Amino acid sequence: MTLLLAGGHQDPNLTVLADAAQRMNVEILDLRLSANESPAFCWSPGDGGPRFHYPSAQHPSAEPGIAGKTGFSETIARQIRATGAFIRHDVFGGMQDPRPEVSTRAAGWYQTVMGWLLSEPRIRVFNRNISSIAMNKPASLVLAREAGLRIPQTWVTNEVSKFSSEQLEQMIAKPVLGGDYCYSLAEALAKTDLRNGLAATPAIVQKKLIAPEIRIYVIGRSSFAFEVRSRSLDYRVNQDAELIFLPEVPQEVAMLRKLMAQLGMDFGAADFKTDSETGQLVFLELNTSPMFARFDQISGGKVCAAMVRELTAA
Amino acid sequence: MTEHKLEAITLPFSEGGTTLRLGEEATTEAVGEEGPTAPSAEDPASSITFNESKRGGPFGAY
Repeated sequence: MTLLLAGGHQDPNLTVLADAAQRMNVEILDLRLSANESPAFCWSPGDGGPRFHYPSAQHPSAEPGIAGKTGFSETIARQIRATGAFIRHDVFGGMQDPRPEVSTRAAGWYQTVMGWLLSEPRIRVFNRNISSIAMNKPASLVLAREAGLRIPQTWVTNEVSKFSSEQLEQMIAKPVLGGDYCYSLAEALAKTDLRNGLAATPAIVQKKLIAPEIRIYVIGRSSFAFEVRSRSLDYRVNQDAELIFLPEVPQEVAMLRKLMAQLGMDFGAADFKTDSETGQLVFLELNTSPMFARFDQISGGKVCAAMVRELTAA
Repeated sequence: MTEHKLEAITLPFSEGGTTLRLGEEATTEAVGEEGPTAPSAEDPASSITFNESKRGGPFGAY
């Protein structure tokens, strides 16, 4: 069994996954991209696997401790072979270096490696047959409700002038595209320029929910749940969240699995918050490429162990 | 390298009041002081336009 890892060398999620694989004696083929050096890569689609190697022995992946039993240097000029693979789009390089070309480079490598993985059905990857609906937050909400999950009262709109002053305090707004935080509707509107009463872009406007906030990971046959405690509306803003590993996964996981099956997903993390009137968990969104490094640590390594098991199962 | 990163992620996160401005996040995340998720890290497709998407907030800008 060989597990291929691809993405950014600065991605802490890939680091903990590599460490977990090593602890489980799984051989790693390390295709993580470093900031300053690109490997040699050549693939002729339809004619076997690509060849890939770093010309510099100084690349971090050349260190035996990172590369696992195989050792990266042994992969030089060889055709890449793996039985399972985990790939993450490298967003961390672009965060450290905001030049557009850095993000574009990461996207180019992601498409390249993902293209090969998608063309190799014998390699086990998560979410191989994922639906494009999974990438669309509003459409995913509709399917979530059809799967039996409760969803918040939601509008996707740029008609912001229709909301009453009372609603401004009771609602939140977040971008349809993702990539930004969740704001109170009042706060979002304070930074919005209107023309004829209309905002430039529709956003997702929802009823404000309360704690507890729960994140459920589904990893193939395994699932894990965490409570995310924060005083902030969006814990990512102030980074004030405390994570608690829950002994039992909430019953919503059954409907979440139904949703994920509909979306062609076998790996993801769904976020829930609580309806203040009913006390029930309400589905917010399903992340198709969730972060997991911190959650893995809180779970005592259970998250990454499940990922490695799923990706290397015979 | 591996030992260093293993040690780093055991640090309590959100220590030090880190910010999520682009360009600072990767550093804090790499040493485990950042929170469990970041907007563009879970929406990779948005990473290229992250700065643009923030302008004007969720409703964007003309």
